[in-house]
Amino acid sequence: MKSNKGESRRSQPIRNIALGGVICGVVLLSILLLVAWHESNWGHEIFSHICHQKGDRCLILGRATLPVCSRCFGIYLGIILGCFAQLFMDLRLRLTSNTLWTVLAGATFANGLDVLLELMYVYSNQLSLRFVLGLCLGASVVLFVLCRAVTPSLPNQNRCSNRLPSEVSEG
Amino acid sequence: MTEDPEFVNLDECPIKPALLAGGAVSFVLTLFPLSYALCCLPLVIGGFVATTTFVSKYRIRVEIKIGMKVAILSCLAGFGASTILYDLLWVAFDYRIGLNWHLELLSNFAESAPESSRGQLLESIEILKSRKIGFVVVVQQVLTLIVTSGIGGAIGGAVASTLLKKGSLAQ
Repeated sequence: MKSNKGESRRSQPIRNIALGGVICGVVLLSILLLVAWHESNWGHEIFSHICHQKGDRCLILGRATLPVCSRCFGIYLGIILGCFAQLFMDLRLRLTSNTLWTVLAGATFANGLDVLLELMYVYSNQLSLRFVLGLCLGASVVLFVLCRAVTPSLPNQNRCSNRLPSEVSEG
Repeated sequence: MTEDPEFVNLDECPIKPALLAGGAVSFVLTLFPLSYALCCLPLVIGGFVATTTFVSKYRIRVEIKIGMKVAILSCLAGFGASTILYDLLWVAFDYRIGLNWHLELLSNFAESAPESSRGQLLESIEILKSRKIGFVVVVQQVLTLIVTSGIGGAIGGAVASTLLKKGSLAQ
């Protein structure tokens, strides 16, 4: 009981970072949607340094084209969802290191394979697939980072372990 | 044989060497318009290098927010320096680094794009060609610098601080 309370206190900075991630992510998505809605060339230029903005690879909402491609949009949305999940479900206490590594490696490999298959003309321009893979990559990266992050030590704490809370509770 | 202390005072670890290393990588990778094709990966790499340098140099592990801060600052420094150099060459010699490559890339995109987005791409090529440097462009560059460094640096720094967890905890 006592260790759970301590762990909960140690997780507080991670929750703060997750909250920050949700807020920054929502602001970013709002800006993306506003730029698309106003069809602003000026706004599109701002995002030209973080995405190729190839027209047929961007999601179109109504008549508005998003200023980033569907994979980038998926990654941003995945980051928000990952932060959201950590914030409300406290996955740090549930996911083991092996699970996190497996999910991250799987998402990275799937994205790499998608790029490769497109380059080899096995298929072309699967917008929804690219979006879903981006979503998985964003969420897996953010969960990997938040669940494995180093937490600050509390007063009277002798040793700060590298092990995940889920692994500590397993003994 | 001496053991590493459990905690290190963060004030005793200046971030300048990490900023230089990460900034240099960000500078090189953003000077040429690789970012148009690789999304925010150049800045993620720059941020990752900065935090890795910081952690390795002092043999410490850091909280995620410290890693992100170092990475974002190095991305701001490196990308900022490359933007200044780009603008200086633009003003002095009317030469824009990588413009021809970027125009060629956009033309290729336009050729393979569907009718609906081709017009928009051709329009953006014309805008890019006829662009003159001025206050509006500089404001746009500043916004780009903040947004891209924020995203790329945050991802790179967070991943580096999560992966490298050997040594004393700096706080």
